[in-house]
Amino acid sequence: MPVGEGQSRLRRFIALQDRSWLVLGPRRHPPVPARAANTNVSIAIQTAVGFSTLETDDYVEAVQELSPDIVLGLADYEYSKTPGVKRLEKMGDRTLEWTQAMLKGLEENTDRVPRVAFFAPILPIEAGQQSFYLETLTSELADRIAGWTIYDSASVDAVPAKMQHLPRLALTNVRGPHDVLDQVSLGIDAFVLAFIGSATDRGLAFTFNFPPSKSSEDGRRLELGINLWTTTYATDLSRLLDDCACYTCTNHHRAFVRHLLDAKEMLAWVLLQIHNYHIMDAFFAGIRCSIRQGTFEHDRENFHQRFQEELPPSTGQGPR
Amino acid sequence: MANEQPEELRGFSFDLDSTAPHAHGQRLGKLSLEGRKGINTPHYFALSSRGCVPHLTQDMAGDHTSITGIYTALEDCK
Repeated sequence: MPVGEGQSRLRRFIALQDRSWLVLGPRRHPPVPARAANTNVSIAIQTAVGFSTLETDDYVEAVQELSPDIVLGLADYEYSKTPGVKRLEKMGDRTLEWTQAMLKGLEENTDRVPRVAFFAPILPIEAGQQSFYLETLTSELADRIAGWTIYDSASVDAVPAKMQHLPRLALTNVRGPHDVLDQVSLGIDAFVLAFIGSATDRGLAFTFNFPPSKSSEDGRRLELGINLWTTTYATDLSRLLDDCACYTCTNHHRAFVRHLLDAKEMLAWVLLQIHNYHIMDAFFAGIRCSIRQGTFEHDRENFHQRFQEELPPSTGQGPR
Repeated sequence: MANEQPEELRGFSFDLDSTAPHAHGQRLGKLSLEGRKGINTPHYFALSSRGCVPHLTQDMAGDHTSITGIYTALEDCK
């Protein structure tokens, strides 16, 4: 795709607005467990045409072509596989080698494209097991690392003391808002959240807020969401969530969204996605406000007590 | 420190808000990059499939959400 000087081909391809950030990682989140194992020179990935591998050089070349704002470095991490002892020994070494190679590759062509912000991985293992990797980063590469990618919330502890001021992006397992609050409490700055789209696809509309403003009437915990497939909503003309001001709640009601889901209309998921992202925007705004006021821990505990642990089950099928 | 990134990073910086109380680990910050909207943290990057947030066009996302950044995977683009 032809682009002007200094423009990102990827941004132009997806018509991304100038004001939006673009973060590029090697794998989807959460990734499909790859059939093959990582090797010394590549990670295993799943593409649209099958399982494949991604080498450092290819990744660097892709970054230079696609010009994201933030790139997540390669980690020797295999999703959902628990590494054995020998594997653990290799993880830090490989990740270090890949990080050094990527940084070197990215430096080499800066006359053509602006430098990208490189986020180095914190491996989802104990600090001691990745100490050589992290110490080398701290002592030799600190000025070229712009942030951290965290794959497991427990490993935030491993962030080296001298580099704690850098932003932490979590590609962790976040099942819902309770996990977000817990991970904010551990010091995560930015999230990539799969549960939002997953809830929308299941026909669920979020009904939570933070800090929680309503108590339950009968002692039972409040629901995190409602299942718009439920037939009792067929005549319910109320908003998806009382006093929600999103586009969906302002213009439509539960009965309409239920009807759209039933009729397999695309608009159903468009309206649900808008509502759910609106709820998440307000949720994060509430988190920031709560931290600023110094009441975050109290509000977090309150949220855990007032809301159900999980979203309600869905009874319909996703978009198809 | 975060404020002294080399110029080639086009002004990328992450500034921690030191006035917000720091009990436990939670913290306020701001991601800044020349030409992009600043992101106050904690916040999210919207998960995208090849650059598209499912069910939303770029203009819809702009009008009705506060999505200011997206995450996309290289394996999707290969």
